[in-house]
Amino acid sequence: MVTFKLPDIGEGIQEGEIVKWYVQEGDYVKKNDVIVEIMTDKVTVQIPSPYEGKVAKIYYKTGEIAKVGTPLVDFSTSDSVQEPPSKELEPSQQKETKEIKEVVSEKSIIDYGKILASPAIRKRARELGINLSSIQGTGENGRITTEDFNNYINQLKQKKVETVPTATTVQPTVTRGRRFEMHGLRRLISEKMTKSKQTIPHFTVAEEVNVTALLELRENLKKSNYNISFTPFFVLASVKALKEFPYLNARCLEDGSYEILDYYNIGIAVDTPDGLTVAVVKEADKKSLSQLASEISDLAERARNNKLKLDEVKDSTFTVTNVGSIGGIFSTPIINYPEVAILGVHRVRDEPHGKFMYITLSADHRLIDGAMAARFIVRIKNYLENPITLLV
Amino acid sequence: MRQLNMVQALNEALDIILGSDPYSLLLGEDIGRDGGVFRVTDGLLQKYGKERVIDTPLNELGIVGTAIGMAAYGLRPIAEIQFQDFIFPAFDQIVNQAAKIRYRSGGKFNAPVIIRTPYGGGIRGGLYHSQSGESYFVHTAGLYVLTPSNPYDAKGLLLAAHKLNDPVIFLEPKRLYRSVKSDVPEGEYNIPIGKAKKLREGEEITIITYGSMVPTVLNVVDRNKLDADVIDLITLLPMDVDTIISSVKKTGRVVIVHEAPRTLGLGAEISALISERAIEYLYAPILRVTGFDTPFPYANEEHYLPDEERIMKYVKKSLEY
Amino acid sequence: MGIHGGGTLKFLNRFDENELLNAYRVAVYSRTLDNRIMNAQRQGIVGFHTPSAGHEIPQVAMGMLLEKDDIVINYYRDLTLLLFRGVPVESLLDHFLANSKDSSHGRNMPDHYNYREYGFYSVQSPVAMHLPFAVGAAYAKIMKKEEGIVLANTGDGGTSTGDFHAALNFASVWKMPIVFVIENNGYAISLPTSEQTKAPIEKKGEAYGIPGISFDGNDIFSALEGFMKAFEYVRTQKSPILVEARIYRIGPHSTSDDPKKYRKDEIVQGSSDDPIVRFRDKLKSLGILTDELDNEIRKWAVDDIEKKLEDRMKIPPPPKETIISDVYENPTWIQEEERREWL
Repeated sequence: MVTFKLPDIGEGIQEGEIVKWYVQEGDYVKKNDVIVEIMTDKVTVQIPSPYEGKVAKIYYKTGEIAKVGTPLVDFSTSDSVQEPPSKELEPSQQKETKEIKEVVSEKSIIDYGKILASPAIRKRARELGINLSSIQGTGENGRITTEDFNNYINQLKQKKVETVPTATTVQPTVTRGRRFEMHGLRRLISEKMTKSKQTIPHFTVAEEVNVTALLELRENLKKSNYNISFTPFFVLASVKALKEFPYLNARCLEDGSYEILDYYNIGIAVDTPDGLTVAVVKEADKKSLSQLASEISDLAERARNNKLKLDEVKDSTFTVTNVGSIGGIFSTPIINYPEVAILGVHRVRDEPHGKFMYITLSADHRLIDGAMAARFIVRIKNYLENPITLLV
Repeated sequence: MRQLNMVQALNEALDIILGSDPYSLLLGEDIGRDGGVFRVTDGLLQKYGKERVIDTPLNELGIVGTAIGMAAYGLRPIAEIQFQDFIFPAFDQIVNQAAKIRYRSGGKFNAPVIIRTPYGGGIRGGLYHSQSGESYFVHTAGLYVLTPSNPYDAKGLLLAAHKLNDPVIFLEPKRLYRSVKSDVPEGEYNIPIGKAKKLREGEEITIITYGSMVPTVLNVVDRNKLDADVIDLITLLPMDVDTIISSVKKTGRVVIVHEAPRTLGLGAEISALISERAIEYLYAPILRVTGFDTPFPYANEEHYLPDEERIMKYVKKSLEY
Repeated sequence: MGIHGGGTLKFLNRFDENELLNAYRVAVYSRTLDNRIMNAQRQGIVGFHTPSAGHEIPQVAMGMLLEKDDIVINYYRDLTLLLFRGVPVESLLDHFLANSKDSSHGRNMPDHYNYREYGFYSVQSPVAMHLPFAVGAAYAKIMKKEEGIVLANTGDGGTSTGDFHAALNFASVWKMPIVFVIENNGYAISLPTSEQTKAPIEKKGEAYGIPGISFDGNDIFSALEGFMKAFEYVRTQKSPILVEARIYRIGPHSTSDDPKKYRKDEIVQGSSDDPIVRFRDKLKSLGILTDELDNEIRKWAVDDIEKKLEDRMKIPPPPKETIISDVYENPTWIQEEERREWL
């Protein structure tokens, strides 16, 4: 019997949520079979089995948070097996983790846990935004020596890194104003937005929607005690339009291919005290207006209190962003990478000839041309101006 | 300029003091007729008479205790304890009387007394002629603790100590008494108290030392062409923390070298000071090369004292960390 | 003023009745103050006290014989001597109360008197540690050609210490004008003198070539006579002498001591053996003191002390910054940093 502990997943992370078990107790696994998928913040990692044998005991249920270094799975093996070094991952997993390694949480930057390095190296790493767990230490117990660190810096300078470019020189001290470092959500947003804009050729198309009928409908629903905000209507309209324009519910992949998705997870942009978060309404096409309304309301509330589950912030296929309640008649939203389009809705304007709202659609010109984008946005406009058509 | 060894330099300083300050005097065992067992007070009895140069009975408590009384009532005594190893009967007087009389009397009394004593090993002195007990004194607020590493500093430091109005423990590294000569100016000059000296400048590593280890450290640096800051503390209490910290911030690596035993030797205090003020500048742990936590042996003295090889080993360890 | 009228009486060819009466006043005041401070400690007003009850007679005798340039390197039971030489009662109370007017900023426990300006010392706790200091002080006076002799006071316990040995040896070898006064009150906390040393105390000086005198310290004339001889010797011979004044420690060693654990009180305060009672009776027999005058003196002492104590209790404690000053003439960066960070 051998116990396999959750290894250091390679990000300096201390824990991860069990997303999916690929085995169950009693199954026979071969070495390197994927046994479990674990999610940490924005990262999903598949763990391959280090042993061949029968799964004797599974220590965590799906959805539970597993701590690094604690028992994950017991295997009963026929022969005595040496515990492999915990750092070993499949080459493909290594590549994946390497690609996403720079996107880290505040915790992983500051809480190094097992990483050994001198205080000066840690300080420089912090200043440069380098995650020390990316560096292979050659000192005793895997300590990162000064030489290791300097070599890594040199490599970074030379290599063309696909990931978010981090500062390779320390910024000169600000002489006026105050200087801060980005951490946590702010950092994530910074990196995500940069990646989106640098990768996706954005363009934006706008339409003006007469929302008089929609407002009336909302008033009527209120009288019948259905308190529904704008957003559920926009989600509903988006889903129906996406079904007609499948290219807007798609992904462009890094190898140049693209995939059209057959499920509809709508991301809702929420403004939280820490910054912008996208909460995801899963299978939005299968939900009624009131279901959407209550789910959206709940997600938004929990987003603002930082209580979203990992599952609720990932895997959206299309995003709606609504700043109208705060202000702004028009915007050019940034696509929520790796999606291909995003719908922005804005403030209602009281005009002499009725109540109007601008809606904007930013789209990925690699896949979507202006004509398609225009047709799509017009379809949404039509749904919203005749809300009764949302029923059919 | 003429070159003097440390004994001659100290002798000159005492001569100047006795000659210029009519209330100064010396007291200790064998310092008058015999000129001191190391000859530091040679010739002074003949020159100044037995009221100013006193051969005392064999009692360290009495030497230091009476010296404090003299100092409190307007004299400037310089007491000698023949070997630092013998200072302990006077420890009560030093710690409870000299170091505290100003504080407990609200300044009505003070004790401007200098206690000179040879310390450290390297002369085949064994357990009781080789001790380095500076830690006992640095731990006592109210004292100054000074230790020169060369003749030039020795004379200037003693002259400066004479001007202080508080008690001074003046530690003379006995194995350097005659082994080093340096240019020593005639007449009066001062070495600033509380200020360390940088004897070598470099970028890669800081080596902090004092007293008898200074020449050994300099040899290590020079022979191996190390790119190092070498700091001679000179004043152990109050230590020049600013010079230490600015050097550490520059190099990021520190080795402390002292002959005194490791545990609670000054290396420990210096390590704490550095970690409080400059920890993020450190590329390597603060390392100490010290005497053993044992009594001082007679045979094997050369293995006990930190030698060039041992120092270099730790320097390397720090540089390669 | 004597009640005989006319010329004043001469005692021992030296002292007149006014001086004796003054000595009595001081003794009574001292005892009253001592008792009051003991009570104050039990009341929580004063933190600690080492009572001097039983020590009054030899101390007034010394006071009558000291001259203005003489210095006394005193210890913690010399309250009467301090009062005799003019240390203000208010200042003593400030010291007992450890308030902000105390000359040592409340840094010391009582009774670590600090009165250099009245010719005294700054008392420390380790017993007899000041004896070598006194020898050094005498050396300084000689070298600076100053007038006056040095007294070094301690108790019988002090004669066992290394400091005693060093001091007497150095004083003798150097020929210092110093009177070593042993106020032998029979006990060093709980240890009776008979177990402290096997040699008669006044004979201990012989081991150092120092003459010794011993006398009954409970009798004023015996004390005066003894001290006169000793001071005379030192002033003329400029050599040290050892004096033993035999008295009895009427109270405990300190407010933390309970003598009931190790002895039966041989002299009870206020009894006919009490030296102050004996002093009173002697003065009455000489016609210097009446009951009326005595009562007046006692009442004056009680009232004066009570009033002064009440006044001094209003003074606040020393500010906490006084923790960090006077370590050196000029604070080093170490004290400065600690003051900034912690005070």
